[in-house]
Amino acid sequence: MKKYLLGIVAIFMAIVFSAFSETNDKVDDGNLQTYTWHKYNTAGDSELDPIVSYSGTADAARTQFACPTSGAVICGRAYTSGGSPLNIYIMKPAP
Amino acid sequence: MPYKNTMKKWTHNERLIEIIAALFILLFLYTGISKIREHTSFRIALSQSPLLGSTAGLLSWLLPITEIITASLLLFPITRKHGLMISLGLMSLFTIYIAFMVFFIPSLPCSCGGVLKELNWNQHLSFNIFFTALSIIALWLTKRNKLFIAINRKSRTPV
Repeated sequence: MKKYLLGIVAIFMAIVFSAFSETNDKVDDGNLQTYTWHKYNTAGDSELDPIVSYSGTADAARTQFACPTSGAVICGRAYTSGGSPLNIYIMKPAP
Repeated sequence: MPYKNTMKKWTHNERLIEIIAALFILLFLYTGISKIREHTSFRIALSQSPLLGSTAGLLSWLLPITEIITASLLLFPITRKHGLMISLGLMSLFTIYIAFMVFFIPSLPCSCGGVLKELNWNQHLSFNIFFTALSIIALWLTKRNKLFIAINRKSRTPV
């Protein structure tokens, strides 16, 4: 039992951390869900300042932010209605 | 007395291997569970990667399941060596992927599990190099820590 003690402690900690970490995955389909989108700059490495935002689906945000096709650079990031950033992005081709 | 020192060293090494295995259990189990809990986001982030985009659907399940299986292999002393080998393989693959992202596409979001996605690419690369080094140390200690050698009864040579 002593040989398993550290491993069991690690499993317990992993479960506790997972239980207490907030999940961003509140959606079934990222394309249909409505979010508040924040537009990124041309290089796709930071959000515009002042913030340019739009509320709607990912497809509608693409039209709004003029990023009709996907690619390797971030065009916009989804936020919850409460203002928390999500790990959901719309992308655009590199400039 | 030399035997006592050898035993002391063996116990010390064994303890170090257990600590490293426990760290990997914590890492793989936490990130594996996070990837399953945030499966949609994880799949979307993977699909945006130019390297992995075409296999995002498969990888989004394969990666967390592999991580959880590796964590369970690391728990039991009898399967720990295999768990450490898989850990080294996984960490090497992750490190190569992150190095590619750092050098070629740093603007893409990280498809990592849990709090690790809060790290930037450079921090993530350092984190992965550290854990890759830990797995190499643990495997080296495991190899070095053999106290008993099986001897062939007839030829008297190690088997």
